[in-house]
Amino acid sequence: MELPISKSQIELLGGRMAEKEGIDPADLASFREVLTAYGEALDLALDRTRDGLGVSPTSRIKSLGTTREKLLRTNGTGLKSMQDLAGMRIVEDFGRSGQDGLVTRLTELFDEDEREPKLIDRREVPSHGYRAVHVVVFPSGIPVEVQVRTVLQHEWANMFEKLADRVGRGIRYGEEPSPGLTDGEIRAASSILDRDPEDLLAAQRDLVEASRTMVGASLTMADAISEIEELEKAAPPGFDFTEVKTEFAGQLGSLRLALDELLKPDDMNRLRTIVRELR
Amino acid sequence: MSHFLLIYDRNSGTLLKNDQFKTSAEALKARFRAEDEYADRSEIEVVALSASSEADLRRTHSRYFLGLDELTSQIS
Repeated sequence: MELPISKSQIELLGGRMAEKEGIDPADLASFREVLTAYGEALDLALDRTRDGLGVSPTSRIKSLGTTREKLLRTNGTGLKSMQDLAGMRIVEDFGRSGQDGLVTRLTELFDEDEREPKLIDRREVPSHGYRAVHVVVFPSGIPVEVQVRTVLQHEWANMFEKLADRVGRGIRYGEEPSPGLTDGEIRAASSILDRDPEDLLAAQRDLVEASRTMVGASLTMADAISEIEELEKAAPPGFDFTEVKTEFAGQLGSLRLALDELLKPDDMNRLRTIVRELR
Repeated sequence: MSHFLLIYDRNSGTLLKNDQFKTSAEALKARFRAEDEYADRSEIEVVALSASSEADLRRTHSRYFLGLDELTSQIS
């Protein structure tokens, strides 16, 4: 399976896609042809994984928005080597040794391809709280990233993604929470809402402060998951961690209450809608 | 396999569309059309996914289907 354009052309395309003016229609069409080729490789990998391992993976092609976000963070470099344009996810109710076992079988399933699978262990080197094992496989030479997650790792990742939707996606890379509105935008929108701009600015400051607390609590939670995994690694075979995990889950109640509070519909959502229309 | 097009509003945390297709290629083409439709809406996420069933998709990509309160309930 061949890509429709060369690697160097893909890299140049990524550079142009990161320009502030937006994406040229011809470049968008070219990018979509590249994604279509990745999609064919992903279908192959999905079928092989499902049939070979007896698991139920799901798959996705990286969205245009998140691809562009990534390119903007890297100043337009790295599209040709972006390993998660095509991705699969496997979530299983197992512990650390079960996760290791599945990763080994997955690696063996793809080790006859033209490039050997590449292991990225985000349990050993977490990414801002995110924990999982990623295996990049190369069916037909095109990279497909397979995320292998335990249930706890997965639920944490889901919750943090959702939090990032609310308080700024940069928290996934260690950035400060950001509501995404400038003070000028809030002042402009305040007259439409017939609200005192100072009240809205104060609401935004409160939201940022609450967001910092939420992010901190989430990272503490990720550390706790890490501790449980370390215990699992050190425990004798057959040791039952159900009680430990149940106890851990109970500690999350206060965090859930705080997150519920943050989720409440508020002025900021309405404000975002108005600002979007003003833009 | 089932193939899905999801359109998701990050700000409100709501799923705007969940369409199914017979092939992944059809879902990807529908995604491209939807991207054009929502080109000026950075808070809208357009994604094409494949899964053995919608239940599997809901398990591995629950963010699109559940509110934050429900997600945290799942953990605790």
